[in-house]
Amino acid sequence: MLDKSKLRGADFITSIGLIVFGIWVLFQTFQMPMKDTYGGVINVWYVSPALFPLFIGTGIILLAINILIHSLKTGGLQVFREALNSKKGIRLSEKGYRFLAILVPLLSLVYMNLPRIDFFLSILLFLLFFISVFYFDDFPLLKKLLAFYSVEMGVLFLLFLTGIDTFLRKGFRYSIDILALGLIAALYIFIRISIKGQEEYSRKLRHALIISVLTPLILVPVFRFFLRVPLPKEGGIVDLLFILYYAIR
Amino acid sequence: MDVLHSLSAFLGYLGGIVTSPSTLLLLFGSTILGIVFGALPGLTATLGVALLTTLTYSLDTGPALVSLLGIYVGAVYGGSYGSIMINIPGTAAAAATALDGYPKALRGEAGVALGLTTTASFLGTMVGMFFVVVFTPIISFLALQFTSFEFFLLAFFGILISGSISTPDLVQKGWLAGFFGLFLAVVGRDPLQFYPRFTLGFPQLEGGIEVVPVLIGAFGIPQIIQVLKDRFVTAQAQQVGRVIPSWNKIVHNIPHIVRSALIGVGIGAVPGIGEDIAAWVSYGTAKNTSRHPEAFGTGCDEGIIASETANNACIGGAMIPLLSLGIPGSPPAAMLLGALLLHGIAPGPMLHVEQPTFVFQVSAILLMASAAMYISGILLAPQVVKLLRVPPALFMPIVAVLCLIGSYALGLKIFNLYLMVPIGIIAYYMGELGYPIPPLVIGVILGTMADENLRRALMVSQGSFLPFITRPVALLLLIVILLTVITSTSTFKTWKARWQAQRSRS
Repeated sequence: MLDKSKLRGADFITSIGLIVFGIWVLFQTFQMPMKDTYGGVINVWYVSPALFPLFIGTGIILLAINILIHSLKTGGLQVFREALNSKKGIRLSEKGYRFLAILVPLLSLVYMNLPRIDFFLSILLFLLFFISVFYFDDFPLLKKLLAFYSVEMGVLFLLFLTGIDTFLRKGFRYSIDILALGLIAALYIFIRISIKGQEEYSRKLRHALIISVLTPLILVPVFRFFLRVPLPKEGGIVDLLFILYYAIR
Repeated sequence: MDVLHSLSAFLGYLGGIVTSPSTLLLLFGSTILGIVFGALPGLTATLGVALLTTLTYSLDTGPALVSLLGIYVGAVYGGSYGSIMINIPGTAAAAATALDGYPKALRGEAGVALGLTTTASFLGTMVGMFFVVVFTPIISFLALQFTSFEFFLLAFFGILISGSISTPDLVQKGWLAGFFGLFLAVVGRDPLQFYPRFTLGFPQLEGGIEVVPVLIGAFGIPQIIQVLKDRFVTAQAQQVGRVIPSWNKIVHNIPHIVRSALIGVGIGAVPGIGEDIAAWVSYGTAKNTSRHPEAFGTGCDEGIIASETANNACIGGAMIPLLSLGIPGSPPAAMLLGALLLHGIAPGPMLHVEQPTFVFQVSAILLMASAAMYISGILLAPQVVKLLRVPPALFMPIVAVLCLIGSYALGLKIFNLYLMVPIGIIAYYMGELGYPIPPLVIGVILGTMADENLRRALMVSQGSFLPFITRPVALLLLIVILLTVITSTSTFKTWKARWQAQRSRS
């Protein structure tokens, strides 16, 4: 949590944002049937679908006004103004980069890779980057790896955006999985080159690789074969595990 | 059935479990699986019961019940592991435990905290089981007296008290988080008239927002961001002291245990109110009645005992309306209801006629599950403490993956993940700005109930608010809500401070 002085400045702007949000809730609510007929049913105000949202919207606005008043009383506006003035020529701090190093893999995994790339490979690619980048705990290396990973995700993004993936899949069913495997290999090689000659980092990379492989190797059989949960995308590796599973059974 | 017949049926089921090695193996296996499910953020009791339901199709009713109740009891208890060890409640029910469990772990007393939660959960489950057997008719009768007026007020009270207790800054922020949770709960088609509310044109939102992704996103994602972004030390790996709490400590806390268990059973018996509310209300009551309320939040034993006894006692409470009325008392109990229906058992008033010993079977399983949970908990606790030695950079990415798969697995919807991540990021910023997360989650859980019951109540009274003050229980709840609001205002606090200052001068 922010410290108290900064918090009051943040309260000033967030409470205004919340008041706007509350107004939007009320605006949407007033478009709901109140006493009109909906679906052949004649409404009375107390069964209207707008009743509870009205209560919520009003509550949000009142509480946000309360926070705004408190912020103004405790110098929130002044803190906010000072913060605005000091933000000229803003540069991303180390924390900012670390935040990006969390968001980029998480967002790309959820919104891009999981629905399109084999579950095993998606998780492996995600973990290899995510574990390495924080386990090394080296800021210049973090920036370098983040840039490389972002380029990799950019390539995938373009591929999915242009629809080339569909074309490739028509040629060979597992083509995108092979590409993902290539990206994993490229990432690993890039990390190896970046940490060349550093014994401690090599050991950490080994740990990261083992965990990145073991995690999906445990999760896929547990969820797919034991708990019978169909995975978001079952591609080459999951199919391979299927063959192995039925061969063993 | 007379008492002797009831007792012999109960003992018969108990003997059946104890003397069957395969059933015992199933019991311990599912309880340990439950502890793991509860402990790992993102894998909740509800999810555990839901996933195991698919695996119990082929089993007979008895073994299926053993495994489902085992995972339920284990998971509700297991939630405390995450709360104590890494400050991520494994389940919403264990969110209150984190307030005191985590500071205790930071002091190097993780073993003591885990010992306390294990014993408290064991005793809580036992008391819950006792109520299932003995007081089912009485509590069912009391719960039946509740109408929509009381249900609405109870849901509202749950959000208010959680907001008041968990806020690190202004109390209004706690309540606002609760209102935001209520807003998320009303997204989707309204249950009475099927009108789409706040769906923004997304067909996936018409069914509403599921609780599990919100819970995982709101509790898991912010912790992952915080730990990795701020190079945060989740908890120091300390030597585990004595895991079993001394009997002195247990005896000293008996009043807390009894009161918390009663709160847990009482709240569990009210349909729709789950382990989370029981834990928060119990924690709040313990704090308000304590001689040292200032010690709460710093790692005090009473706080841990209050929440853990209540959430496990709530299991028994939740079974009461499930078995007698066919209404689940909590989300995992709702999953259990589905599993029972799959096995051809229809819980409800006719259950006593069709299967008069079924309640005793459930009670015997609950008793054995609590024993399995205690033994497994005491044996596993030192192993769990070892998790602290794993660097967060190695552990947190795996937690992220578990959060994702846990969120996806319940509804098998990728859209759940699309919602979970933004909710997690919003929750992270809320935490940074002093808005607590538990009221948000509770708002999402209770929102539908509050909405439906407010409208039903007004339908019954033809739009009149008078029953809110003419019905005794509703009036009582209303007074408690008003007191909660009034005592939290700055005017009241200033007046109280002045009054105290005047009193000390005189």
